[in-house]
Amino acid sequence: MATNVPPSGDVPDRWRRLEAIFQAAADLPQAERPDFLDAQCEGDAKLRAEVESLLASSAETHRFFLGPLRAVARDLSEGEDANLGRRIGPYRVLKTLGEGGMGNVYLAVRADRQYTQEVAIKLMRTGFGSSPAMLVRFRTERQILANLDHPNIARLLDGGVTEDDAPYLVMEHVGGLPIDEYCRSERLPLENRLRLFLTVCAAVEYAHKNLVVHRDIKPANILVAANGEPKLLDFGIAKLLDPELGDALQTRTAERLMTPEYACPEQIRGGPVTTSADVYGLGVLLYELLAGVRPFRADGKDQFQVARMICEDEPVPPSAAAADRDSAASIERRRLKGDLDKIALMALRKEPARRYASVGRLAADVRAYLNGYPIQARTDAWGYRSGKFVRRHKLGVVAAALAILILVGGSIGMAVLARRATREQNVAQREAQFLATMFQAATPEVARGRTITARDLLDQGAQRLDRELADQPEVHAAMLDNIGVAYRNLGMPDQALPIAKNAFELNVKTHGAASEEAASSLFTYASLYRDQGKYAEAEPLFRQLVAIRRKRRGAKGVSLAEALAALGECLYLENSDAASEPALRESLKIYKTAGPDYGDDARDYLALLIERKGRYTEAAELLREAVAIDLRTKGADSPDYANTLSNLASNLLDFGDYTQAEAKLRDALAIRRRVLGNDHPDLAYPLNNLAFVLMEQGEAAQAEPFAQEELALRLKTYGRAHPEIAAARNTLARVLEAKGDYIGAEREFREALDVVNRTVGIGSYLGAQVLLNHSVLEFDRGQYPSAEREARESLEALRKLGGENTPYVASALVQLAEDRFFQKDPRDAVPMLREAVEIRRRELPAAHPNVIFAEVRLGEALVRTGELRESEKILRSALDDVHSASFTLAPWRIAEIQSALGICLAAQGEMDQAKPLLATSQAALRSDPHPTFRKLSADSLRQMN
Amino acid sequence: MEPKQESITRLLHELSAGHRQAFDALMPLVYDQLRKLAANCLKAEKPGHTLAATALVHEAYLRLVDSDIAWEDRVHFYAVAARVIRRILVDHARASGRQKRGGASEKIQLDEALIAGRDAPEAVMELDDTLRRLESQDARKGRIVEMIFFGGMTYEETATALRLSPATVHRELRMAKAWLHRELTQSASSSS
Repeated sequence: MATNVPPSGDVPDRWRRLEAIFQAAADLPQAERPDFLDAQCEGDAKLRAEVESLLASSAETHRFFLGPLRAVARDLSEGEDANLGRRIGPYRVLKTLGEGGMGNVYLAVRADRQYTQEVAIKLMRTGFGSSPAMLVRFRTERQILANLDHPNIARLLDGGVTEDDAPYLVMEHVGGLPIDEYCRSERLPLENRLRLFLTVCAAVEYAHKNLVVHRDIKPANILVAANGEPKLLDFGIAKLLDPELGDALQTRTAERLMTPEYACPEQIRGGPVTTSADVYGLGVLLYELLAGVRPFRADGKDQFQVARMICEDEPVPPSAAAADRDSAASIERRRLKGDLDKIALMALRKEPARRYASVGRLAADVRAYLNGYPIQARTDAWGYRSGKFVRRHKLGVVAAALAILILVGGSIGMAVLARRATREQNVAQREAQFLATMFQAATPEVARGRTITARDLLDQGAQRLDRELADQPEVHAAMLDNIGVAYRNLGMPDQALPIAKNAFELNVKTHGAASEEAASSLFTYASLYRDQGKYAEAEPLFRQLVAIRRKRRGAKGVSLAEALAALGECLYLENSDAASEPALRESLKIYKTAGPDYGDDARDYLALLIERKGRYTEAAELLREAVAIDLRTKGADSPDYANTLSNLASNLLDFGDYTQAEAKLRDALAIRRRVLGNDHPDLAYPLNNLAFVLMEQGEAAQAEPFAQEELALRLKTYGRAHPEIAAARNTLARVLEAKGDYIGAEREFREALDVVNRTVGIGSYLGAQVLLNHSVLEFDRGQYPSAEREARESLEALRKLGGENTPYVASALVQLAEDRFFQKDPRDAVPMLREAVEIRRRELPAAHPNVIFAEVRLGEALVRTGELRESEKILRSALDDVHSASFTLAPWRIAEIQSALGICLAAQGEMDQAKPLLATSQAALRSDPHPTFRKLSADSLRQMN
Repeated sequence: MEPKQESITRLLHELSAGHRQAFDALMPLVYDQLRKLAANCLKAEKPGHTLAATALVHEAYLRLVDSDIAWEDRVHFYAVAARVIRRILVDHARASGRQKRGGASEKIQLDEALIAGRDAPEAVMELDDTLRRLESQDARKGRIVEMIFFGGMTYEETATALRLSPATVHRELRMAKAWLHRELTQSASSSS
């Protein structure tokens, strides 16, 4: 604090002087400031220190000051609802419609359009804060809800997260009275009440078929319009807005605790919430519509007592609770006695398994009553005596249990939507964990004495499905679909494939070939082939998927974009670049109209594709966008973020910035290890690239463990005969070769080529590259003729794949030239190297390691052909490029230039210049992975000495 | 209840003519209106670099002042409003600071202040104190900070209000910010 108060007396003067020096210094570049301060402060150390501290503080932005001011301003605005008039997304808030525990509901209009559509916005009070995982969940769940399309369900139109992190949902604005008030004010007769109730049931049933549970059925959430049509609000939203629900399977939300009268016992106890909770909720509603009162009433009791009552007390039959006379609120007792009492009480049973097995069955009983048929509901004791009943309700448990698999975790259901479901293994494990708990409860005889694995559960589930859901094809198909996805998430494509196929076929049969159900199971089915590297099988399925989504009316553009991206990726993997690009471009175009948070997948694949053509800068831009999207929408711990980060790292590799690439790769790898564990297939890419970059930097020994780890991982995932195995062995072989282990390298190359021949063939990028790399090994071992043969074959294949001018072609040319060169044919080598240098200079940034590499070889060859001046010029300019590059090259690469320049100068008789160049380069050349060059350089030096 | 438009306009005019006491006379007239508006406007802030104060001040201006007064008078209104907003925020910070020490349950709130490891009300009070010290040795810099940070005024407006060139405002603010930042961070680190 000592410097805070300037000494009295000379305040203004000293302050003025301080400011004058500060302002002048602040105008100067950093580097010039110290000298300037020395001159100005004339030995006044205190003054100088003060100016320096001010300069250090001058970089601070307004944010530093405005942050706290904003926070206090925000705090000030609380209480007097500051959201009114505020813009949320593209909407402007008009007024408050309701207030709730989790947030308020506002009436709003779209502010950016000509027309004014009124919507209801539910704005969550607190943000998701720093949890990107929650945000991901919110977004994907939102997507599921957005797909609910039913005349009696208020549509979810939109949703997002405000600048201050608060999630919001935009829903169709529905006018009308809550259903209980409506019945009262219209003095609706019994039959009409029941028909209204049936309409509500149909809407809930529809949602259940779409794997969404309402969780919060109560009169306030069912509005009846003037025309008598009811609409359900807030479907699945209790869960959506309370991320904890999804995770901990807790159902006790703040709202629940405040009005527990509509909660079902399992919600109060914190058990899993299934479709059966909605059966209960409808039971409460039916009770209330009949009796005019709720089955359990708070009536001044505290919440704990109410909760206990719900869990333990049997409700009195509606007929007993109804008012004595035919009031507006209730129906005559006499008419409720018997069937209607039974129906309501069956829906209200404490154990979910003993309620109606589905909303459909509840509705069927109400319909039976209306039509004068016998109903299914019996008084409670009956269930315990009847074996038939027990068998039936057990089936219900299994169905409900499997439904939960989808409903609770969400991510399995949403995996269909999320293209990279494979990467969500951690989520899958959580699902499986949950399933385990559930199945243990449902089938204790199976669980006794041994641990159930997630796989057991899935196996069992799949079997049970076929046996027990055969008569419910819609549910059956949905379950199969999800079990398929679960297998896929657990990395078991072989198990997943037949189930996914089955699910697809069943969906086609049940919903039609053009349905979204068919499309989404087709997505899984096709992706499984893709996962297995069977691109030829996957491609027609992806095409079919695109065709369905293109045709589907009302299909979200985003789902078409997603299908196109998947097709584009598949075509890319098949090397059908020409077909892949338009698909990816179209996908990206659709995503762009959908908003800035979409299309990480299309950008990612498109970047990979155009990198293949050498357009690195364009690719880099796409990748940076994808990385930003993933970071924003999925978070820094998300597998997708790690994935795009890793691709960005590859791009940096292509750019030549190996040092930065290495750092990004290490980041990506660390995230994946943390999120996915050490055994996940997705560790493979960063491992591979890290091995590559370390090798290229001359750190072959460091590279080897990464290459080995990658191969082991790939073998575990794919078995021995998969293109990825060839790629992994190729990397390992190169690392071993760089280490000087030619025998090991040869073994790995052989294996890799064997896999290539059995899968994609030599005519693929992968095949041609492996062959080319093997020719380098042959070359390093002095086997020039066979090296040349292989290089030629590879060159031919690469030209066929991508044309004359790709970086791949340049690589093959360099190698072929080297082969010719060392067969004492430098004249042959020169034009090839010129072409290679030209391609690389055109396609790559200056000082890219590959440009330098080719230039060094060209310089060398020119020495042999006697074109010494040109050689010297090329090598000197390479050296300049390296020194002025924005990134650092590995020392051995610089040493190669120095050495080649030394040889060139020596040939010109400039020994004095040549010798030190050659001598200083020797140490760094020791890490040169190219032994021929090392030898060449050492020989030249020896000759000179 | 509403202050008469013409009295405010007259006071602003006097202020433009150099009658400093008009400033103090304007303060209470503007305070109530701004306090009322603050709740709604301050929250609607955009992620830009000013407080939503700009919107707030303009709103207050529309309600309090004749629409066709001279530019200089209008700018003086902004300057008064900046002082008022500063007072409103500091008052509120002090009040919420008291509440907090009173042991009310703590609210989890994510904002820049907390991210920076500072408690917002405390930081605002500290800023106000430090700003006072700045004013005591260089009143003009204090006014510039007040107008730009609290009043959401542009450099142009600030320059007009203080009869300076925008470039001078820029330089003055550079020094003021550096000094404030240093003082605030030093006292933060010495007290922790």
